[in-house]
Amino acid sequence: MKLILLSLVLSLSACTHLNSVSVTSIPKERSQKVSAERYKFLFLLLNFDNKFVDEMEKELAEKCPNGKIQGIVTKTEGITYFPLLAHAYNISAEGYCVK
Amino acid sequence: MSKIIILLLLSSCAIIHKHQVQDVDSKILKGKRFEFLLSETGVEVTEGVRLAGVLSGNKNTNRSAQGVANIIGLFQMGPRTGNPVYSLEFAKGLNKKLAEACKGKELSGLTFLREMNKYPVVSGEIIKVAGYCL
Repeated sequence: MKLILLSLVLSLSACTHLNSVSVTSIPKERSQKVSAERYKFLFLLLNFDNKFVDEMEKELAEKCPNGKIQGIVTKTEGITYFPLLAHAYNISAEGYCVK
Repeated sequence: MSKIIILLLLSSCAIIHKHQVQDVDSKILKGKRFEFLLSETGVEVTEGVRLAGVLSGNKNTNRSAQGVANIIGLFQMGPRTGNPVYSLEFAKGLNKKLAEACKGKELSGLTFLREMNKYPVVSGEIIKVAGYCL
């Protein structure tokens, strides 16, 4: 019984995998942070396109009108909620708005 | 049943390896967006050999195929994204394509998406580049 409970707890807890991380040059002015995030849930690992990541840069630009976004940290993460059944991608980009 | 198996074998899965956003100038909101792909066929030889072994229906052939797949696997160890491609030219023209995308204009908001369209044994190894001409 304990073993079944332990297996259940382990299988219901999610695992996050960091696929990649990248950083651009960090600016001197770092007072205003801007960020954009994309998330996609995958049932049975089925994913037919990656269009959900498109135009993240546009969202960042809209959050920093008349400025430049520098020092952007982009992270690509994979999440396993339940092996085979439930997975997700999470892509985040965070940088500094320089006016 | 066989139709479902064929459908599953022919459908691809899009896998993300890396997404990268470069510095963004807010002028991109008025700029012209461009996008291009660099792609090459990737081959998972070990998967192909294993599949051939299973399809042969012969126990001995299957066991030999497993051995061959394991030996090939030893030569393809190490960190990588996606399946091996057999072209050294893959991604070589990236700089040239970027320069041609915005002739005489500044580029900003560049994004690089390293993705893979996975089919059984073969895959499409893709680098998707997008950006804006200011």
